[in-house]
Amino acid sequence: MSNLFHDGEAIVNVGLASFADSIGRAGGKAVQVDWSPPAGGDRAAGWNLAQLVNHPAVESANQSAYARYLSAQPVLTGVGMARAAVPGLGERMLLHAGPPIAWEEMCGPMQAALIGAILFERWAADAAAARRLADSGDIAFGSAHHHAAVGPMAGVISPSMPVWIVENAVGSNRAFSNMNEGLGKALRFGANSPEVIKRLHWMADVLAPAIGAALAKLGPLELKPLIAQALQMGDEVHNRNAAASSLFLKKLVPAALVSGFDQAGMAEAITFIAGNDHFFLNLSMAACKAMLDAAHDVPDSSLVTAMSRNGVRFGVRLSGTGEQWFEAPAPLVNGLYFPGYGPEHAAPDMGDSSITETAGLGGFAMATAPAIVQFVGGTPQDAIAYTREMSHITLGRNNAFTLPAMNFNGTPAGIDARKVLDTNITPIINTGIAHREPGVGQIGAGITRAPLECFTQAINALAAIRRALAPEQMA
Amino acid sequence: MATAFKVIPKEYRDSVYLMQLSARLAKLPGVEEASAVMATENNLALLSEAGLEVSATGAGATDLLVVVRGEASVLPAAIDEAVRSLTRQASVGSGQPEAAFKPRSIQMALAEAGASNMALISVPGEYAAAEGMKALRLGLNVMLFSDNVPEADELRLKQLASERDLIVMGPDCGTAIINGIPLAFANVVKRGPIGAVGASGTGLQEVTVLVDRLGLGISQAIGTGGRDLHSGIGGISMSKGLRDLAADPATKVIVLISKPPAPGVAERILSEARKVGKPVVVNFLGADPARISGGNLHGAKTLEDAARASAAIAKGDIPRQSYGEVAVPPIALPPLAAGQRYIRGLFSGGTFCYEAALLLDERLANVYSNTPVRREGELSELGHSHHHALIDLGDDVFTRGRLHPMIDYRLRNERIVKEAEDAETAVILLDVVLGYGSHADPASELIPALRRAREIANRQSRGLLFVGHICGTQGDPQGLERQSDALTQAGMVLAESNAQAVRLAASIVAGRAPARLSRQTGGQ
Amino acid sequence: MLEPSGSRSLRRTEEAGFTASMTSASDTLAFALPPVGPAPVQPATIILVQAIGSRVSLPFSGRVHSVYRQACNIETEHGTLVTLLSQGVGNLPHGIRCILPEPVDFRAQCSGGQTVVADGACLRIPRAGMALHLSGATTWRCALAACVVDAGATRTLRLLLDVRATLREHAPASGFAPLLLRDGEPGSPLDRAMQRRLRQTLPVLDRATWSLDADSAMQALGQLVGLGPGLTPSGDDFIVGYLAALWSRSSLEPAVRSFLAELAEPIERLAAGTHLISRQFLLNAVVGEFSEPLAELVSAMAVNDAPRVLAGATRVVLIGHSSGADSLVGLLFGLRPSLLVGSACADGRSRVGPALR
Repeated sequence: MSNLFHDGEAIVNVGLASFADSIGRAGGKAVQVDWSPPAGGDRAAGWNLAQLVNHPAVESANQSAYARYLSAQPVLTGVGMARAAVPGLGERMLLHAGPPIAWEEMCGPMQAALIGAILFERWAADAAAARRLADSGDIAFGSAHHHAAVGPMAGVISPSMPVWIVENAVGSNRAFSNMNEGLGKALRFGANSPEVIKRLHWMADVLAPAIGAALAKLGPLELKPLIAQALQMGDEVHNRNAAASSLFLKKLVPAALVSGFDQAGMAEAITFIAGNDHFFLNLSMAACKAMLDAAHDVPDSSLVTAMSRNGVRFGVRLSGTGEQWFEAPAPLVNGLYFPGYGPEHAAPDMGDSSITETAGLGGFAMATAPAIVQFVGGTPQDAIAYTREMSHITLGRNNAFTLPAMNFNGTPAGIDARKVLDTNITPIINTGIAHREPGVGQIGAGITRAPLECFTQAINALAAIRRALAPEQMA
Repeated sequence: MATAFKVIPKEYRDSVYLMQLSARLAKLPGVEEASAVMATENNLALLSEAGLEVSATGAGATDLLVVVRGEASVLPAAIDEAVRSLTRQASVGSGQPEAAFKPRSIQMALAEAGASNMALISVPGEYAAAEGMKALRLGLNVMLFSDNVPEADELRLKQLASERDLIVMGPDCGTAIINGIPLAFANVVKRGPIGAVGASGTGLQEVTVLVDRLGLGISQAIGTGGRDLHSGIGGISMSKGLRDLAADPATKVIVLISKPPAPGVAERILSEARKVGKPVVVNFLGADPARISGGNLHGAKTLEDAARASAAIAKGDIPRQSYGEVAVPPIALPPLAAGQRYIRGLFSGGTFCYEAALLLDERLANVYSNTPVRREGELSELGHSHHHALIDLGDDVFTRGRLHPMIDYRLRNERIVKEAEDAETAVILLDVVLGYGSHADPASELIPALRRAREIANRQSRGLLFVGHICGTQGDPQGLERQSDALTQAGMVLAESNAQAVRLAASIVAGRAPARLSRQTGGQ
Repeated sequence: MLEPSGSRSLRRTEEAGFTASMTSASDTLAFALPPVGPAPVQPATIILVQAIGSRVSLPFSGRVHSVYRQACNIETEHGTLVTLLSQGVGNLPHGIRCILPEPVDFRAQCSGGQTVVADGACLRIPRAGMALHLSGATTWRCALAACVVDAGATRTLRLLLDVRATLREHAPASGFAPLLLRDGEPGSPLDRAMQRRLRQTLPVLDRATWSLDADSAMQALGQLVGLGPGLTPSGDDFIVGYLAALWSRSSLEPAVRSFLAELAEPIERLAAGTHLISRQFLLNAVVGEFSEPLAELVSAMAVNDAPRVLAGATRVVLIGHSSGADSLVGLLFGLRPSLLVGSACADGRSRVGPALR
């Protein structure tokens, strides 16, 4: 018999709410969809989306990709020089955050950070010469994401910078991130004054070797349990890393003490880490990158494997669409500004740190870090609401990262671009706000949303691939 | 030593739980032995072999049997304890329910809906096909209320649906009754043995309503959308509906309703209908019933005939070929002036208008309509009636930017007054559609207009007749009786069906207006 | 760089021990506020599926029949049973074994009566907010019927003695095992009645099996079906084990194969009188399909791998309360009746003489 005649089943009502009321009054059950035109009203994308909903190839690809994401085990194995560790990083090459972007097109803070890196590498004597060098085209610029690397804000990585090396112990992929310089004047915000460069040298010469020695004693450090623990302590490991940084230090110090490393150097290193509540951010990002790269390149998968901003454009990558970026202008951030600053001073959203949201952390785990919503005048209930809202666009929940405020449910993870388009719910991102002028640094923090347009393009591309591969399967 | 027992039907606790339960019961003071076993034949035999007298008649392998042996005084408490712990919710905290987040997509709604088998889609037409596609991909049947869906999209949806053994009702499907639940514009009718598939919304409403009034009921009423029987679609949904009703044990008689289908499609549907093994009443408006009848098929000329024939078959009677002569209520004609010759039909249901055109065209010359039977009957200027004019006010021309005339009576009321001003108007023919979706109190809307129309006519020394029918049931939210009482009091003559109303109107003007000679008259 | 399938990388996770270290991150729990309840119903929790039993035929629709911590039974529209299993449980011919994220407790997810719809790609229990993605799963096929066990061989006997020892050691106090393997009269009148029933019936079944007399065998099985404690009564579990033994013998003993064929229809009729869960196991057994632990045990026997047999027998004994033990008794009986009913089977027609006992 037709399943239409199964009695007592609910009717999904899409459109006129009065029809749902009538069904209810007649003794039936209706569930009303709070409908708005999918894909923000883009009919072509909406139609493409309709072909992909519950499509067996996409479902199975997502299952596979999601399983890889869930089962990934990011392990911190050590630190190394970027030139040796990061694959494909040329000798005269600088990596930056976000989707690829030409030098001329970059925003002020990004250019300034790259100039700082040129100075750090001693490829030019002063800022003016560094700019000329960059203008000349002799330096190659690349998206860090294309080199398995991520970095917050400008996200600049140069060959002589130390990087975290995180391995996915159940796959064969590695991920890298630079080291966090602390707040205030920092390269990632576009500061490139001598003190900034000096600190970068100290980080390469002292901090990294000291941590390397301690890590060698400690052995491989699993990052997932550490992040899980930090989530229980009020971090969402994007905009709040206080607990995670402490936990990391707690692991590091006993090993550091017996590492045999020069005591004075180690003391400086430990003091530096202890003074920076964001120290763990770069590790959290590398861990997320390792988990998501494990899930990348599954044909047909609509799983989002990267969200990132280069200060001009916001970019999204899907597991099933390879190296392609789907870009839209970077949104401005709704947030709380430090005294003396306001939206007129803010640079558009920038950095790879939204890799945390892509992995189900950051804004997706907001329920566990209500302190963050205060940036936008929110309450703990709002924080929970954000996490709940995100659960509607993810493939599932990652039970490795449980949230006390959500009754110890896993954090919603694995953004399905189809669901974003179908619901018009865009991923939420916790982020810092940089000053639009290079070198000023962070002027606030807040919340932003990934532009829907990126997901619209992504679904169009996925549908196009499907059509090309199996036209007969597309109704 | 005594024995007490309790049968707990359909209880499938796991063995470990059952062991623990028996152990706990056995520890109660005064209890010698306790066991919780499935009440299989062998276990019942075993209990009696063991000297435990248990007369659990009717208990079987799917039931759990708790048996306690011990001092008679403690046994009731022990049994109580067993029942209590078994009925206690499985020992897991359900956690606090998540605050309601309104579903934003069909997929999200499914997570909330529990079991669901259908999506009712009424979003703007340009988005409707995509929503329908998603629903089908998620395994849901689809009712597409939305119109303005391109025919190519309709075909794609219906092809996908047939691959998945689902049905697409629509697009532009105004009505359906599924599992007793009226959907969109539908009436509250009894459930019963008659299943209907209709390509026309009001046609389906009329048949279901009349079946209800004849004391029978509707198993399912499936809409297909008006284009389903066009050659471009090929009747995919009607064919699927026919198959489903054929397989539905609750359906004894099937009714198919459509405006004239494409000839090839009609042939195919009819040949499928011949094979369903159930009586099928077919009302393809405008088709010759005699050419359809035969075998298990019974052709019906009007919607009313279809309802009456299917009711007769369901009751085991032999259906008549036509019910054309059924009771025209005796009415006192108001004095009509010499020039009053024409019928002006103002319809909210397109099928009613078409049926009226068909029936009038058989008897009268000069029948014009925007749903004409023949090309020369096309009403050239919709705003201006001449001769016998039958106007479907649900036509896109009228509804653009307005609500449907079943909801918004203003346009029709204006037109009633306008027709009353025409000295040639003798009868104003109306339909009143009740049910979910329609206006909450049509009589209250119509009556002032009827009064005004009559006043205008009287002032010019003319009579004016209002004839019509109510497509509705006592169960409808508006209440059939309440509506008909109010309208009758306001001087409207109500017939049982649209066909009756049309015939009544025709008989009133017969002799005043020229008859149509070239064709046979209806109603043998 | 990437694994071709999610399930393979998962298995590597287990091997590398990371799963253990993740879940045993006990210092994580130190920060957890009480109570750590099971997950409440979530909208559309996506559950991945590792393996689908060969007896599961897709698509189907049905309703949740009964729910346990690690299993959720679904009654399909065809009147068959499909069981969702959590990761830690062995495969079943009618089972769908779920992987990440592992459901904490099916009872927290779904409850009886909820509608289930499964197409080729997805099994949904919408009311429970569960969606199982089936498309990437492998098919699990029980290989028991293909195992070759030489019931008469001495090496098999040695293995069976190990199995019996395991039963003696681990079998629970209820069900058939204690009545057949432990000395002394049981205390409860019900157990005494059951012991009497077994002592009358098993010798009949023994003779019937030896002489491959299907009619007598069915008479005996009729006395056992639905007999005894448990959700699946001991008698049903016993019959399943008994049939497993016959299937494992059928490769070497063609006559046993025909005997099985003769038993098929009457056992199906017998099964019709039991409840759905028992019935499904019996119907599986008739066509040579069994649970993974039982199949694994028999395959270990077939290759004469004593440590695996011991481990396998222990795993089977621990299934349910007495279900596993009862099916092991059945298996033992089907391979070497004398190990259980030697003294009762007075006519000495058991194949293995007293000297070997």
